[in-house]
Amino acid sequence: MNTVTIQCPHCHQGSIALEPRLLLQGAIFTCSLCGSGLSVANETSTQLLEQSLDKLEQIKQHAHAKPLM
Amino acid sequence: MADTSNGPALVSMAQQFTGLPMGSLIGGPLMAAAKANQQMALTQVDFLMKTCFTQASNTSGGKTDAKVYQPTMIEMQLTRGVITPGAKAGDPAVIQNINSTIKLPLLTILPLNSLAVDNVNVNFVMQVNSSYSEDHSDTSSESTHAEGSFDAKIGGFLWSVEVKGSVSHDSSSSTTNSTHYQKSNSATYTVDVHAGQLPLPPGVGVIIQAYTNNITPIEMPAQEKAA
Ligand SMILES: [Zn+2]
Repeated sequence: MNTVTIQCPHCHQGSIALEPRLLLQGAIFTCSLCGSGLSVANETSTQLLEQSLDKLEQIKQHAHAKPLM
Repeated sequence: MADTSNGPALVSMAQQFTGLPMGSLIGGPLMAAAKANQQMALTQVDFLMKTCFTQASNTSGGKTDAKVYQPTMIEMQLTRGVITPGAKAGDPAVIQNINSTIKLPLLTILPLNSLAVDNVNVNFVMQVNSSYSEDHSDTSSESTHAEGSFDAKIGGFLWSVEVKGSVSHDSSSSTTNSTHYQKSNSATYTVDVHAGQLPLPPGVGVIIQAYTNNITPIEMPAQEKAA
């Protein structure tokens, strides 16, 4: 799991732990303090996030598969 | 026991290890790891700058300044509950979910980690086996067998003479001579490299934290409903 924690945009006190891949599936992640929910707003943003995650995943896999010598 | 004092000299262990390129054997993998780290860092910087930022030219007064990198934003929906008191005294409060659209820098919600070679093991095992053995065996055997027999008979009046004789001789001889010499060398060179995730560099962390601290909902204009 690649969880990312951000500060709550609403209360600025609590934090919201996000799982980016689940965001793509429409998941809503809530603030630990005020209960505000965060999800991706539209299809354009979902696609942008998905492309970025795929690209990042490729970089990570390439780094692991690359021979050193 | 075979006399090895006159046989081939044993391999000198010190001589075997002299002249080994220890600098290359140990330094080589470390240099390769550093190079790999540099390549991975460049790849990640390239990803950050191309994916998480958009490039724009800042033109002011007809002069084009240095390129400005603006964070790529994605639109998120923030849902929060708002308690609305009842219209009249005594009416129960109503909790309403208010949706607002906010823009988050993409950088803040990507699971970024620094990829780097975090472990390099150089195992150098050199095994020098030197052995000398001489097997020498002489086998000599000789056997002799001799046999003689004589039988004589002498008679009278009507004479009878009978003579019998027999002679036999066997002899055998064999010689075996063998010499065996053996020498062997072996070397093993193992390099283990592991690439893992390290904490983000403080600089990138500061940028992400600055963006995160400034996430504030921006009310988007209401979308016009189709008639
Ligand atoms: Zn909150």
